[in-house]
Amino acid sequence: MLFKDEEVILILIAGTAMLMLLGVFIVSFLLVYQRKQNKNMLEKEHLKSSFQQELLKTRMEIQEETLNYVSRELHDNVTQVLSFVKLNLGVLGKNLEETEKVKINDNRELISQSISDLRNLSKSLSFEHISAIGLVKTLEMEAERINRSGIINLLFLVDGDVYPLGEQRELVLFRIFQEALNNVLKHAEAANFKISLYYKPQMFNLTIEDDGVGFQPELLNDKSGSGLRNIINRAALIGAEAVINSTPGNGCNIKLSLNPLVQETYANGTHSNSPG
Amino acid sequence: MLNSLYFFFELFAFICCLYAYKKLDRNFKIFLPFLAFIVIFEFANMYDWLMWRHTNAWCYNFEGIIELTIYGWFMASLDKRRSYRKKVYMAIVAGIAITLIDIFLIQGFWTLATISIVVQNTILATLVCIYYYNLVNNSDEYLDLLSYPPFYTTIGLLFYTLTNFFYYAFFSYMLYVKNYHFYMVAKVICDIGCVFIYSLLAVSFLCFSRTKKLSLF
Repeated sequence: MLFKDEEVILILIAGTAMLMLLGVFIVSFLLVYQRKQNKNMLEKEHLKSSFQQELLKTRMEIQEETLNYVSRELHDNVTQVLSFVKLNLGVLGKNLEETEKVKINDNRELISQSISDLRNLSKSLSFEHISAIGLVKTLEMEAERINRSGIINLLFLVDGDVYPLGEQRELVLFRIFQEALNNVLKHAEAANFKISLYYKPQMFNLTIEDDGVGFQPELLNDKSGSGLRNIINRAALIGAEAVINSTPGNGCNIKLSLNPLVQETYANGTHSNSPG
Repeated sequence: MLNSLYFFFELFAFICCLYAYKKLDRNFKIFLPFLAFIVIFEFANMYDWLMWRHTNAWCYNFEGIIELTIYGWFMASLDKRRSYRKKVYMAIVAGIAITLIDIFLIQGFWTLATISIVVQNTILATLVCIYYYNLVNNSDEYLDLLSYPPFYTTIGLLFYTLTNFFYYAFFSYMLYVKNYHFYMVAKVICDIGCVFIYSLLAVSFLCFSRTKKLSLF
């Protein structure tokens, strides 16, 4: 009888141990499986974000090509034709009466102004021009042009010792400025627009502010606000972080921070801080 | 001291639950009254205050029903699907019905309802395994299981039910032959089961407090 009892006890111990081993196996399997699943998920997310970034880069490259083409056309074709028209008017004015001469000269001045505006516009569209003269100078010229037009009062501030950020980054920053300005002109009904550049040894900051009607912060998540999302996406492309703040009636504030020491590799293998 | 080892783990789990109560998810809050009940119940049993007609088996039978209800409800709360939750509730009701039949019609009110305890353990272990299956198949977001409180609770529950399974399956027979060795083994197995469930419950409560503290910074 005792032997039988011991057998039962052995079965009890062995059975319990087996069941516990089964439990250990189940839990270990679950842990390993979950770890692998998490790894796959992270890889998938990484691939997705890389794809999105590549897509954005391609879009920007195409946009830059188009803008460059338009810039060249404006500079080489339209302004040349206008110069020719101005020259012809000058020749024509020599044979006319004094009163008509004045009118011709007025028209020539208007054409000169148009040529000058078109040249400036061509410069702001051209990648080569921006990379040649740098971000600060380009923004200065742009501010001058906008203020001269009288559409909006643009204030441009630079703080700290200016250093080059790399032509790719400077181009993207300039396009962000253009996007923000475009948004303000289209929707904000603002009287003042301020852009500030802060050059610190470890950090570069760009701040864009306006005193327009502002918008609901939820608009940032809305599909219709693609201009604002473009700003964030473009900033991410150069390794910068863009924060957009706005409330109705209080204008909009865009703050962009960038570590100038961190190099970003672009799709074509070039670095943000390297030429070309 | 060693005889009441399980009691200290129960008390420890209760204190952890109390400490992290404010940060606990809604479905975990049920463990505070439950653990309070368990601590009081075991304390009373340690001093034989619940002895009635020279046995405390009757109160363990009812404790089994409460355990099945609480753990079953908790397992149901881990799933978002209403249809699945309904099935779990049905399993709990079936478990309670079997227990009541066992208590009043099969083994009797004054004896430990071991058949129903085995059934309860089977139901709970099955629910945990189904939960794991769903966790593996349906999780579509990044999940760190080692900092996921329900994972610890379910591990504790799984080991608790698995350790108790054979013990209660042989309980009636071994009680009948009155073997001293069995008493020793039974004590060890019971204690191991309690250590698993209550220590892992405590870990899951502490996971909550840790998560919330980290999110402050």
